[in-house]
Amino acid sequence: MAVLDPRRRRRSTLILLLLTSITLLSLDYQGFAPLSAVQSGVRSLVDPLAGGADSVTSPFTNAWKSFTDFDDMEADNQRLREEIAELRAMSIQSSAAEEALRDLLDEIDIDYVGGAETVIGQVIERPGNFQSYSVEIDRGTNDGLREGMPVVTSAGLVGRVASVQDDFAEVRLLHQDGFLLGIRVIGTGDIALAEGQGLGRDLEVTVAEGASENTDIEVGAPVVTSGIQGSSYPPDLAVGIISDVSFDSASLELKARVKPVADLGNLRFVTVILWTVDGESTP
Amino acid sequence: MNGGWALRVVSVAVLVLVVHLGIAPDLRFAGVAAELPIGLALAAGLTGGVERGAIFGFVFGFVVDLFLFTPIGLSALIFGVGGWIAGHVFMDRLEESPLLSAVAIGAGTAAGLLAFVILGLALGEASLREAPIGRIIVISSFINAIAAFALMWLAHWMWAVDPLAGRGRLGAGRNFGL
Repeated sequence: MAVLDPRRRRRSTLILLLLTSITLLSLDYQGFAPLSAVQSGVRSLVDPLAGGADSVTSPFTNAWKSFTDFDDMEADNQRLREEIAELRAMSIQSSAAEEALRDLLDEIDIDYVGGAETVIGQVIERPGNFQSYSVEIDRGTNDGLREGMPVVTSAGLVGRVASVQDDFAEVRLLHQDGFLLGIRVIGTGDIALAEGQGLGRDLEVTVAEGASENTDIEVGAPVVTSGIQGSSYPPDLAVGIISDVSFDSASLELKARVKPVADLGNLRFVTVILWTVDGESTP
Repeated sequence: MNGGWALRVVSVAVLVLVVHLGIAPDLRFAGVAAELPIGLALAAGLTGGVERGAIFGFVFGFVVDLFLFTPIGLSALIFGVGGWIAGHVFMDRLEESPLLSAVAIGAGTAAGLLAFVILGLALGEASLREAPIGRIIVISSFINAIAAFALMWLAHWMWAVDPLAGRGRLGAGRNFGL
């Protein structure tokens, strides 16, 4: 029997296809569990094959990269030499600044991870043409992960677990457009809401209440999570450094920018803090 | 349904998926990797007709969705519609010309990627704005047009029949073994 006759042009096929796609999209937005199970199963089958293919073809692909990226590599080489020279000079200043930050955090009794249990995860590369505000890690519910758990590196906060399956999880990074985060400015104690502005851009902070032109917030001031009641993050996780401050006299709002201390564009390993806002931290 | 046919379809789909995930990202041209899966969905429609193109495109797109951060169902929708449209083009025997097939797959890839970005943004996937969309579309389409010969060959082998053999004067009503 010709089930799929190439000569048939039934519109019902297209309509069925559209309806099924819409259903899938809807189920995905609702976090339909069986869909996640299918995703987990298919990935566990295909990922090893893709990894194997990558290993087998790496001599050829590396040769291609060196051929196509030769000019870029030369430019990068030159740039890196210059950066090394600059970094040597800056390292002394950075060490001093880092020490000062640690001293400051110690002084105000900040415990970075708060003694909570943690799980280290490796970032799984999903290289594609389109950027993402998320990364995937090789840890899931089997390792105690839950949605909403904060994710950090040794530098500071990188984001939170957005979705989790048995053996992997999606971590939404804090530079995501619209990512909201309660912060506290060390020194002044100002508490505000920071918002992600996109890849590579600093978080934006707006202080409306009690803001004035004569703000005490200074560029370079360290910023940590506020941890106020109901916050999605534990208090005092290092977030970043104030990179810009301005006062809008029309709206009487103080605008500031926060440069994340964690390198969000180059994550290899991250640490998930087994902490949730409702206190649930074990499977 | 013929088991051999199903095995060939799965083999081709897995092969292209593995190349897409494991090899293509390392073979970038001007920073852009090939988007072979949509090319295969189009080739499946061009060689297999409307229904095969639509169903293969939809299922294959669904599998590709499982590896992306974009909503599950988005690639399925784009690939399925792409396969359906390509199947209509098949009825006009475009696939008999390698050059026209390459143009069709290149143009289809461009239209599909554009639709992917537009629908993705409409669904709230703001991160799609961060990509150099124009460059990705132009270069991916060009790569897929070049890869069209291989994709068409794979799709022909996948369906295991000359899809034109059952048409009109060549023998209407011929059973395709499906």
